[in-house]
Amino acid sequence: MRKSKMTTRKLTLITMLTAMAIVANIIENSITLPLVFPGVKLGLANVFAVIALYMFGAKEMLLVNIMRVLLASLLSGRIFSYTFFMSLAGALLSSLVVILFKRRSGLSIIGINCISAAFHGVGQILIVMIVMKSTEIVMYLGVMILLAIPTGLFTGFLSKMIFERIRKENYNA
Amino acid sequence: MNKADKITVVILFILGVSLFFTPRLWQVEGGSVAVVEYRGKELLRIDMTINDSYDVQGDLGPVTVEVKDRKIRVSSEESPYHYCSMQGWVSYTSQPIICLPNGIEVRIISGESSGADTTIQ
Repeated sequence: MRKSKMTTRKLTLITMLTAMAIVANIIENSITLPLVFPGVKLGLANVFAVIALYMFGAKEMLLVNIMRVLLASLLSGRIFSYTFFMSLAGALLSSLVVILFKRRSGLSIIGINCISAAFHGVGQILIVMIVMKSTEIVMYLGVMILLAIPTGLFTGFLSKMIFERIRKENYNA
Repeated sequence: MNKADKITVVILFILGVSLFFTPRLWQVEGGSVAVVEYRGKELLRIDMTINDSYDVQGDLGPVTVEVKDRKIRVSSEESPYHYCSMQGWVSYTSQPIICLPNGIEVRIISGESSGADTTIQ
């Protein structure tokens, strides 16, 4: 993909991606599914961060993710709470790992989403371990990783569809 | 979906399954003692053979722990999402209940003094 020279256009697109990620995040947080492990989400907000990574690059993905976590928790009044630090750790860790994987492996956008979903869980569990001074939560890591497969595949196919459409329309040109 | 994606999914699956089942190899059902901890500090040791409820102070308010038929649960607590009371009854040592906003952790430990052994003296 050609890199955009128009900074205003890029800025607008990143802002729009961030805005959509914030909305997805807030909607997801308001629906609590007491599934196997409480707190497991689909990760729709991550779709927009991955699209930012594919449209622009690593820096832009980090930007979308950090702004999303900050603004979504600010808007829902959860800023600087434990859930905020959990989302921040999850978003940061998964972004960094995904950036590395995109450069060093032959993964497509679908595999990238699976990795991202899995490391979101790892980051969150790390924060719980630090806050609770307890290692027992590691027992839930298996569940988190197993659930990352369906959610990662879902968001992966979604990102693929969206990204292909963006490429066809040539938004980035 | 390319080959690398499929390998990734398989690796994640194996990792998830092994992380899920490894603690369960050593799990014990219906342990006789449960511990309640506040950020790594032990607050309470509960006899699982007695049906009762206990109150501990969490960061956001009181956390009520209930024991019934060698199962334990958090029956009420103050938190934004009530995840730990949603978790319901727990009877295995491999299923800790964690109330993150309250800093409270409840887990069953196997306990050396199981009911059958203590009666024979």
